[in-house]
Amino acid sequence: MAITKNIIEIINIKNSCKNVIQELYNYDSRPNDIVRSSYPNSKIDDAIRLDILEYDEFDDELCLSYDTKEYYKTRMGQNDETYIGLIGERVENLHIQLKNYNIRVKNIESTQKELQNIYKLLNQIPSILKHNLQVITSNSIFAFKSEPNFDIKIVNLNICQNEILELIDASNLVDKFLKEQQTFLKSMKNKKINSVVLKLKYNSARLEGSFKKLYDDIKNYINQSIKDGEFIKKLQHLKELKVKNKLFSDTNIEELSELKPVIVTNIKEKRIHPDDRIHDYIDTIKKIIDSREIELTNKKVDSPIIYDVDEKVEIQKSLYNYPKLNQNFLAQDEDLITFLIKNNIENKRLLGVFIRMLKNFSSRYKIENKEFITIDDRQYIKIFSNKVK
Amino acid sequence: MLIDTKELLPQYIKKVYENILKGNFINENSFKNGNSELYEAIMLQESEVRAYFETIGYILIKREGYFYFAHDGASDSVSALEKMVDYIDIASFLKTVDSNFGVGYRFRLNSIENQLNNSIELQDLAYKMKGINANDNREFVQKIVEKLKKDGFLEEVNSTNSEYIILNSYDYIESFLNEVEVYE
Repeated sequence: MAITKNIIEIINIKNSCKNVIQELYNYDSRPNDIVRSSYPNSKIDDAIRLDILEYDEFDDELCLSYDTKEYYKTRMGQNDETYIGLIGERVENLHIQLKNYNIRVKNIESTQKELQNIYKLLNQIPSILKHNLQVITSNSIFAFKSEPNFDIKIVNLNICQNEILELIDASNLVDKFLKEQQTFLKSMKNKKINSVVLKLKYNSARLEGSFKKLYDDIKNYINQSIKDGEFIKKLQHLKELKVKNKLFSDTNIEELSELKPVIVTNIKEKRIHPDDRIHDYIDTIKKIIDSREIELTNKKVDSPIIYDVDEKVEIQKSLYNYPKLNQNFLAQDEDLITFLIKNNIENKRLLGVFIRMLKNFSSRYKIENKEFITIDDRQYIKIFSNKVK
Repeated sequence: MLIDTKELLPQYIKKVYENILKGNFINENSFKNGNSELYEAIMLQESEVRAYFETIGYILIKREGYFYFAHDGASDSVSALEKMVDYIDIASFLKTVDSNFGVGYRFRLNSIENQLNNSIELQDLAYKMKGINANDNREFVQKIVEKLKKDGFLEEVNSTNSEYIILNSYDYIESFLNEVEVYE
């Protein structure tokens, strides 16, 4: 039975099979093959599993379930009134019929009329319970999704919530009646009545889960609506302050904006320093991170590493006077790394200083040919001053 | 933290970076440009992706159903604030159209236009909204939709009937404005 499932789940399935359902509702016939084949079977299967659609294997026809037809009726406003009081009336009437039945048995009179009435009354109760449950479901969805006025929405949802509580009480009343009259009903030895009692108990047990789910759904709708309502009021308030130019003075919006992590927006690539064009160096960064891994996991580097002139690494701060080093470099004939070694640059800083020099003064440096010098298993490319011929 | 870069697929790292450059959100409920696949991929290696981009200054932020990147130097809080101030009017207008307007909401351009045509309250809100200059109601709705689309809060699901869906990232606007305190 569809109503034992979560409303949201049913709505989602119904939405996904909307065309098929709509077509079935409009023509009450098998959907045309094109429509059916355009829908994934799993969705149709889900709809059948939830009793939204029914598949008749004998006639090979797909049709709307009773629940779906009722759902459409209620959605179209044909069915929005609850009749919860009818359940209490039926139970009361049952008590009267049972009493009359007893009197007739004692007087050895025919009980046919009472039996027929008891059967009819018992048989009506599951339909009334189901009808009310469906109407409340539909009304609550309608109030939540379609009612634009917040106050009317909350009033309607509260009515739905009270009605579901009333319906739970009515269902409990039926259960109580069945329990109290259990022995007596069995003693009637009427097959029809016994089977309808069983059917009633079965339906009652299945409906219990639906009541709880619907109650939770309505509670969520109310909470969500209140949240939405408060947000709408806040937005209106903020708008008023904005119009009066008091938004910054009367709210913490500026402070909040500073505290929040600033979202990256509209970065213009040209504004970024060439070294920050990371997307051009994704592979290089990967290499750097890879080599860091090696460094951390195995300090001894087995194979020589060739330094790539395009490589970017973080350079540690040091106290070297780079402009002076550059001036001295330009004034001599050695290549850069040989010059740095001759100038007693620490071994562990060699790579960093080499990169910094290259980065800062590259416009005045040149690579004549791709010759390398190996120092500590690392190969440095030969770089000369532009003045050197 | 050690990053096992072999585990990170370069093609999606590149895609994430492209998203950062454009200031895009990565939404679970966006089905264009492989966005939802990218969301799934980040979900699987969230800490690795976070560490990877943190080294180059971008902070991965995770919210309900979407990711985005923050960077102190990439933007300034003034422009972020201006954007939020603009969205007060837009969010208010959309909530007036339908109080259920929010993440996951689906609508057609025509339906909002019809509501605008028939509601004096909405027309008043539209008329007073600064920053969106339109000659008629349809153009006004189109401009709102374009702005939401450009800022990564909305996606077209059906071009034939102009049907749109509000992406999870719209929560960024709502939660921000919800957090604003008004001094009484």
